[in-house]
Amino acid sequence: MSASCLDDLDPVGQAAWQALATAYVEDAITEFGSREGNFRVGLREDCARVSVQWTGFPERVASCLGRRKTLALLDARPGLPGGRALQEEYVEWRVIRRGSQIQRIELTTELPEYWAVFAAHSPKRLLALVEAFAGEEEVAVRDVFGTDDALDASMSPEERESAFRAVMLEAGASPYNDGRRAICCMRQQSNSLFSAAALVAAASTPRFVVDQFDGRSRSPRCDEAVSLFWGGLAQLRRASDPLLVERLGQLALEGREVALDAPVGVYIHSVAAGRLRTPTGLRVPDQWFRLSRAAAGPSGGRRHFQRLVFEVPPDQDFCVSDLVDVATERRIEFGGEIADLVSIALFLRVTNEHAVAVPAEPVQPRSGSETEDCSELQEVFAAFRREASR
Amino acid sequence: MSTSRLQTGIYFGAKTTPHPSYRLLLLNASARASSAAVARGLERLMGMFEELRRGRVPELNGERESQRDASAKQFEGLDALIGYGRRLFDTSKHRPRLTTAERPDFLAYLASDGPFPALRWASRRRSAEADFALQLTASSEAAVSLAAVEAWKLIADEGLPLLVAESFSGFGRTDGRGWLSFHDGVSNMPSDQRPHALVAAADPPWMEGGTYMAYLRLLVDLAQWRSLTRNEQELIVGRGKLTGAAVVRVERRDGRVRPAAARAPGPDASTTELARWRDPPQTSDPVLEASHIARANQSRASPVAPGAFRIYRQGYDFLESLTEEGVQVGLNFVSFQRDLRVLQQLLHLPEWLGDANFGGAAGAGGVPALISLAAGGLYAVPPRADPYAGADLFVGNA
Repeated sequence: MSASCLDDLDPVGQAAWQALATAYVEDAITEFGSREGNFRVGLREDCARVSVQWTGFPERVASCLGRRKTLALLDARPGLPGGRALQEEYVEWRVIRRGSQIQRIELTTELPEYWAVFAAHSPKRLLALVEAFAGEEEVAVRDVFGTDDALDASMSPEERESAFRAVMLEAGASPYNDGRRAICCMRQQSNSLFSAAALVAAASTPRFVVDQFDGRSRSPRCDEAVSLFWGGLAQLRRASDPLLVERLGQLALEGREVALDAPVGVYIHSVAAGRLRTPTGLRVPDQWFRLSRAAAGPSGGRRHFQRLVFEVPPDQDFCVSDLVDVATERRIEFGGEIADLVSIALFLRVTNEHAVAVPAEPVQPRSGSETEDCSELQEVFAAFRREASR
Repeated sequence: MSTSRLQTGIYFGAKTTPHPSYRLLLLNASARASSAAVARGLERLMGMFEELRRGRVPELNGERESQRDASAKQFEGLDALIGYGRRLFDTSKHRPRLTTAERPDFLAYLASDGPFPALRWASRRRSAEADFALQLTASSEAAVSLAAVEAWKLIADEGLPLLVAESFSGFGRTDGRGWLSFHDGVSNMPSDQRPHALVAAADPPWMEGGTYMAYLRLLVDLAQWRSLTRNEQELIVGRGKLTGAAVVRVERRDGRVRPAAARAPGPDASTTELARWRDPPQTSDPVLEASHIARANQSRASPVAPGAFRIYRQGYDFLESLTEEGVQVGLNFVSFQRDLRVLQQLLHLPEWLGDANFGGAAGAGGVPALISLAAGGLYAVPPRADPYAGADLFVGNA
């Protein structure tokens, strides 16, 4: 499996990232796959390439709270309930406002595991990149690594990675990844390579069900398949998980082997820019969506991006908040409205059909769709309202 | 997921065939009409459609029972569905305002400069944006047209504060094909899955258990379509023209691309085979992925998956004119969906239908535009209620 992505890493770092990505996939197969599973660490370059795509708006949250409440909750500033913790579709964002007016929205699909390796092996480069993302000339080493001596040769890569993780990932308080001064990579719990690999491993086991209506065999739908997984591995009301589960289940039942395509990552595939209009009714140009952190596509094909910055050029006398989404006729008020326009993709390599045997016996999914318990999200929203109004 | 509150006129049930005759009657509230008066007017209209089904025609009140039976037969199968358009919520059109209900986020006017990136307005455009949409469906063209005219009469006779804004008609086909001569509606999902695509959430609360309707009157450039070879047509659609089977691979020979369709499933085909015939799995071939059937159902996932953006289509063809100047035909594209966002995503996202007019590769060198939009509007279709769906929307009625 080739995990190389950008030119951030030196050869040692590249090798470390490669080894880590491989280990994550192997662990995912061991823990969540099965003996009959079709998920592989890697496949030949001549295998077909397919993708699964979804949009970045967290559907599950909206299904519980409704769209307007969800949009507000997703933009909760650091320290308040909601915010990044609910940006669960493998894309996270921060919103830069002047007063109440949105000036810029930055979105990232960069994997936290990659950034941990990046921090371990190329700390100076990482620091320079953080400075670029934050638009600051100099960022204190402590703010990114939690310690002043992270760039010293005396610190081992493992120690540096650990220090970086503590302040920049998950609940780390660094303003350079919690959205206050920058967003560098994803940090929501399930937006990780391991979570994606675990889901792919679980879904890539060949299964079929007997249709309850006509008694014939078919690939399980997402609600049927997820009922067979470990709890929490996939959530039915998300945009991403059900699509991945159904697609991978279909591929597995066709007897195809599957691997994550190289370079491993989650990518920003496209943007539905055609929904936005300026205050004078003109279509927003594609160029206002600036894509970066690219990985080359296969054989020099289309490049894949991991970062998107959306802003109105400074020579215009209006800002993002003045733009209108023609699908709602509303002005842009929240980052989630831009995430809704963004297609996210996971790329896969697949073999031809019938490469592996499929089972002879059907599985018995638990009946019915998952009933979402919305009480937790409702409590989060109530707490957000309470704390935001203080 | 219960469909029990969906209005009649959405034929999503197993082995249910949509009634073959269609008329969409669009109404606006009269200027300065009060909310209560408009609500009463709609109640009279919806009640009249109910009466027509029983053979009671207002103008023929008192006719003999045998004649009433003949009238009942005439209006056999008449279903009337009411939808509420963006215009109802437009306070610049309604003073005093007719409703204080929250407008669903995606219940919007279609953009005048579009309405969609790859689906543009036709040169001659009619308006299908109204306060109210009455979808009339029945077994015969006479039934839906007579019902629409009875509505016009009732409005005039009783001075109801409603104005007929527009009307569109269409017909269903029994051969499962459309104007392109290809099979149409093949990809509609199995009936047990349709509720997931159809039923709206309580966002806003008054829509819980209802659905949303999109009406797009699509003009088809039939002359241009017929100028394409059968191979070209099959690649654009993604199906074999004769069998309806999905094109599963392309053969490239001598610089030419030829479609190879799957063999049509026989009578003993498994559900998997039938499903693959309807919705072929995603491939890595860019030609196949650019076809209409791939773009319109890009994820191929079931409607249980919210990100699959599935809609339930119930279209009716129309013949606008046939003269020495040529033929104008098209499709009343009618779709029902749990949220109008689904349709917006489908028609805006690149690689769906956001960057191709119908099918084929995007951008320069792609297939010329075959479809344009002659009229269109989006409507909220609230759940059944007494005395009629959506009655609670009016000020003072809630």
